[in-house]
Amino acid sequence: MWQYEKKLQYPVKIKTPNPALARIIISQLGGASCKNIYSLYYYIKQNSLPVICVNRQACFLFTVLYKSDHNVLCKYTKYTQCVI
Amino acid sequence: MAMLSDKEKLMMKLQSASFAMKEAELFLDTHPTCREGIEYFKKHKDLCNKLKAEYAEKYGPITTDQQTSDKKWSWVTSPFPWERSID
Repeated sequence: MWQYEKKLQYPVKIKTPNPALARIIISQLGGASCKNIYSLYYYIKQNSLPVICVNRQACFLFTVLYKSDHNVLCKYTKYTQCVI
Repeated sequence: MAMLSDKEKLMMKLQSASFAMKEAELFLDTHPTCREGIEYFKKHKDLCNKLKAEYAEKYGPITTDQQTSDKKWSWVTSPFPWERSID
């Protein structure tokens, strides 16, 4: 179902890493009513088979539970090939 | 722009080939009978496979089935994209 590739879609070079900002951005991915998680949902949907629908509720639940936990969300993205 | 190392150049070629392949996939999902689209997809898919094999041989596995070493599981020991050693 998922195959992880150890490469990014575009080359990324971070000149000045800002973990505080990263934490804020990730915490906003859930949003007050989890609307922003649609971006993650569509990204996953784009990269899997067109007939398989990603479970939106799983995305929401994950975001609600781990909204402020940067580390856990990064682990999740490891398996979905997302870069945050 | 700073000089790119060979590893970065090869990675950039691989990234552009696989991006072209992904875009062709999305196009063909809605235009399944387009012959030019299928040729475009095939061309970039072959290029992508060739580059992946080349990169994995030189710098470490890209997917888990490219693992070659018998002594250690280099999938985990070689750096992941978000780790600083890639920069």
